[in-house]
Amino acid sequence: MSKIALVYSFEESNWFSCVKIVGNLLKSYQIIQGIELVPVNYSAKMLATSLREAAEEIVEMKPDKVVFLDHKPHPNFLLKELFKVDQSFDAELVFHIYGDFTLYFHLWMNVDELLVGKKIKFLCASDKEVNLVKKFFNDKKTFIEKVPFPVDNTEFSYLETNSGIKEKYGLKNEDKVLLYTGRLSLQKNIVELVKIFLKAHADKKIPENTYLFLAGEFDTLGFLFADVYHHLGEYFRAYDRAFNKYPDNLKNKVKLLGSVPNKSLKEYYNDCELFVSFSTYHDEDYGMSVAEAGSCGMPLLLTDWGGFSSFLVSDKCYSVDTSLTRKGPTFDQQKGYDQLIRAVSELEPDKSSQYKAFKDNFSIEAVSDKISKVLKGRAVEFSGFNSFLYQLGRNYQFNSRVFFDDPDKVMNNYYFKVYDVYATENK
Amino acid sequence: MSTQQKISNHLESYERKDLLFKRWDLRPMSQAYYEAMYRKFPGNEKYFFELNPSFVYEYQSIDAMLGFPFVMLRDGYLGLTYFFLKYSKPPKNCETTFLVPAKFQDLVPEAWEDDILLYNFDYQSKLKSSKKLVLYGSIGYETFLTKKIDEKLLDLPEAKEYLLLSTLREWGFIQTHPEAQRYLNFQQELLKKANFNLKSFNEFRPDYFNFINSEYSFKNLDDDNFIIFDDYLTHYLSATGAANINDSKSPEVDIIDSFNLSPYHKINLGKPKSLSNNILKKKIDLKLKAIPLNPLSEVFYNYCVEQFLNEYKAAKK
Repeated sequence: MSKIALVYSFEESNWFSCVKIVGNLLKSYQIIQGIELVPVNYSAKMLATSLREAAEEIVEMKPDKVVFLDHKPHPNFLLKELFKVDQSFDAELVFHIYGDFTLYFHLWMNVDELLVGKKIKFLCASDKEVNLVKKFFNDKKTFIEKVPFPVDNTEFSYLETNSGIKEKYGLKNEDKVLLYTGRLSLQKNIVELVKIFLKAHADKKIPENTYLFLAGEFDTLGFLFADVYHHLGEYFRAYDRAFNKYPDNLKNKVKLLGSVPNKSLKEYYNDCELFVSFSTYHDEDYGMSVAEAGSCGMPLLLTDWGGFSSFLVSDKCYSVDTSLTRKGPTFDQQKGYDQLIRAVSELEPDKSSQYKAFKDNFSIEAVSDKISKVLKGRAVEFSGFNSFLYQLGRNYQFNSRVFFDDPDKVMNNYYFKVYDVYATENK
Repeated sequence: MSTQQKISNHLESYERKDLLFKRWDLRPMSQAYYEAMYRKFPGNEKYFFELNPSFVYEYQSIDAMLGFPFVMLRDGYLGLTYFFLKYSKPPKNCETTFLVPAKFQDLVPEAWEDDILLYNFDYQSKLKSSKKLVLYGSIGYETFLTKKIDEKLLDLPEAKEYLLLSTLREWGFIQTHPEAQRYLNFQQELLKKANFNLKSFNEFRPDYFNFINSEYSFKNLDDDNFIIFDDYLTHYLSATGAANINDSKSPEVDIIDSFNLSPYHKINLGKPKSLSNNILKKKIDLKLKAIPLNPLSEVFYNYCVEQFLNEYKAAKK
């Protein structure tokens, strides 16, 4: 029986989606036959002595593999301790990579020498993230595979009964509802989404009984890579200014729901007709809310950006082209408008085929099978990160915005070189 | 151009330079005033509104303010008294519109009538949660002007769990006011009131405080608003959908415009109905009693406290 040290933080992350991801990944590992799992705590609040103890614990258990499940803290601190405790430690190392990979070039650089020659596997959540991370290896044969973050179908699945969500907001059961869930943030392009939706209404291209629900709270993240920091209320005001230009009969078509508890989202995904997101967020390596919505059978209207592209698994998924510009990522708003109209016109009451497509690709069981195969696969000795990663890691030491040219206030060439794979095309 | 038209045009086309906190060239009135106000952090933290919410201490002088189309003063009684004593009439060719808390409209001299708008906030009335209550505001001398610790605690509604969010400082706004001991006393009494169901947070970082949601009620302990009228945390907590349980004693304004600041609260702007010249009496007082016009002077501070309490008692009658 293969012994696996599963390393993750026993404290919950500030990022709710990461809490869900780690929990669901754990469930996928737990149902793999023929492996023994030993959880190891590795949290950001650990003191040096606890870190040493965690490393000793791993060395003493003599695992066949060490799997880093969590996004925080970065593995480098524990890896350094691990190789201090046992220089010849040679268990296979498996890293689940998250969207924040591009924020930690300097940390990967710091452990590069320790990793060279070791058996290593990198697991990314989406195809485009695989392509992004691949750019930083010396050797094209480095083991890197797509392993999606799983969805727990006991929490998110197709229901045949109505939960009364539309009635709760004063709508009729036959009304059509487009739903966005997640942070209401600059890079999620919420203002643009509302404008496109209301333009389709104003042009009478979608039925009058079509509504847009926005579930989530406004945040202050801005656009980190381009030095755009928002103050409290700034993005809400941008939304409100744009929204208030419309007459009341159109404004009534958009409803801000505020934060919806995760346990209630299943009802929203089941009662609403279409999930929509025009996000071009840089950490969008996956999209947990999209995976959950699809797992409830919702058709999806998404930007062809980052991890979202991997959700285009059926004919109930509609994509909108994205591109990179010197001002940052953008999406084709005309295509967004056209696709929104098309998606609404093709809505069908039966969501079972979409549910099945998502179950086949993103359920705990489907991902567990994938992980099982990946664990059995032969790891290649790691030949190190390439000079490009070193270049970006070193730049980070004196400028945390490695993708931004401060004097000209535009995205630099590094940005295009790294993120071109996230977009549909590179303008 | 009417004030409404001016606001509407500004909202359409404001630029970063029209907002103090979006500029790089910030220079406070004095380093000492800046540091004194910083002891009120995070109450004085920035939030976004196009009409430029800011404090008197953030500008070197009124000339610096006149470079902005709008200046929304977030100061409480002390800062506004200082401001209107110093500038009892608007400067010549003043094109800036000043926004003043409606609660303190009595401090505005008549001469300012054409250049002033009053503001207050409206909070979405929601079912108030009796489960969790967040208390915030500095535990400074100014927080207990009209009500002492025991009276404040008596006023608090019952809750299953209390959260106290207040930075622990050694000294208060006035540097001879020790604050740490008062904080500890308050915390001790609150522990008893809360039956030990109290979590205290001595520092505020939004990313560590994002567990607050609409399940909470919240109350600003500093409801006299002596130093700060417009507190950052009120906006932060309102924007989560939690219920504000502070008594809104702010006088009504004749609303000319309203703007949402979050899905759950908004700001109302109105024209003053009538202004008084009470501030001019204070101006004479200052001269007769040789009180320095300096918000950091303990003599001036004590004078303002005395005036504040007199006006509070008069209003109660």
